[in-house]
This record gives sequence, structure tokens and C-alpha cells, in this order.
Amino acid sequence: MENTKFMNKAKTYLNDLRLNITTGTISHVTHRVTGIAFVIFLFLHIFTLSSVFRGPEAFEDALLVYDSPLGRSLEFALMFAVSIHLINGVRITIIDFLNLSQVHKRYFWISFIVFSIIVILSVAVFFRIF
Amino acid sequence: METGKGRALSWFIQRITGLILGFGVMFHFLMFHYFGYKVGLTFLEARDRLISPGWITFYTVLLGMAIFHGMNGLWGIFSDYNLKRKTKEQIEFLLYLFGFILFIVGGFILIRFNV
Repeated sequence: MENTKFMNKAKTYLNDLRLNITTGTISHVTHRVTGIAFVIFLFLHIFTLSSVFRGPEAFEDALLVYDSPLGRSLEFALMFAVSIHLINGVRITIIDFLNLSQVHKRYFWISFIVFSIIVILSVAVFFRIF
Repeated sequence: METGKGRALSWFIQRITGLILGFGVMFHFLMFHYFGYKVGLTFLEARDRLISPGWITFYTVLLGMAIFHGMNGLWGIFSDYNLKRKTKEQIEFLLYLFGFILFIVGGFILIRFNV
């Protein structure tokens, strides 16, 4: 009973999103999804580092787990997620504090351009172009 | 949707911690993955940093702010959905509990390098 209610709510939510794809909904959803991912990551991060309780060797072994193609890719994904959340967060704060909600779309595109620059730079760093 | 002083304060602190975390996380990430880039971090390197009270303070503040920002953010998401009062109280309890556990474990990790 509760489950179907939840499913219906989720369906309505997704349908509303599908019908209203604007700069506002895009930044709202990405901000939430990346934010929830960070809380999960925080648990993983502290779990990894807690291997220090089992001694220096265990600590270094635990960190080497992330020195794999999957680990590097996840690190890269984390960097993108942090950039999205950070830039969008700055945008929200500027709009909130300076009462700029009338021009929030322009700010979305500015933050999108900043994000694109970060992506290009970090891809260059990742593949050791410079 | 909740209204009132608590909600406004939560909104305000979320913005402030967000701005400070922005600088802190950028520094944290660049330090490990760009400026000091190499494969793997050794225990001794980590201890070299964490032996100084300055770094321990920095990481403690970063940890506390990240946990607060995360848990307050999750609370903000839940409070958007008009949950029942009891459910909301249970969620709040869980968020406090998770935040507390993360802070305690994280804090013990930070001072563990000194022994």
C-alpha cells in the first residue's frame, strides 16, 4: 500500500520533470542527485580511511584499491559532480542573496560555461596534455 | 513545507557552509589530485601532515562542515515532501545519528596518525 503510493509519487515527479525541462529543473535535479551522491561518498571516504585503525599497511592497501581504472574513473566522476554542485551552489547563493531570481536563466548559462571550461581543463590534465 | 526561524536559519547556514566548503573542498581535491599528483598516498606522508595542529584543525572543520551541509541538505530534501510528523522526527533522528557517527569516526581517524 505504502509502496504503491510511493511509486505513484515518484511517477508523478518524473512526469512533471519530463514536461518541464527548463534550466531550473535541470539544475534542481542535478543538485539533488549530486548532493545525495556526496553523502554516500562521505560514508565511503571515511570507511576507506578508517583502515588506519588496522595499521599503516592496511591503510596503504585500502588506498591502492582506488588505483585502478574503475577507481580513477570514479575519482573523475566525483570531480565532475563536485564541480556541478559547487558552481550551481554558488549560482543559487548569488541569486538568493542578491535577489536576482529574475535573471536566473542567464546565471545558469554562465555557470554552464564555467563548468565546460573546468571539464575541458580537467580532461586535458587527466590525459596529461599539459 | 516548514516555515519559521529554524527553517530560515537552516537555509542561511546551508549557504554559508556551502561557500566555505567550496574553498575547502577545492583545496582538498587539488592538493591530492593535481599539485601533489602521484599514485597512492603513504602512511608516512599522511602522518607528516596530520602531526600538525593546523592541518588537524583544517580537516576537523572541513569534516564537520561537510557533515552538517550534507545532513542539512538531506533534511531539506525530506522537508519538501510533506511527510508525517512522526516520520520526519524519525528521519531527523537518523540524520543526527549518522552525522554524529561520521564525525566521531572521522575525528578519531584524524588523531590516529599521531600515535
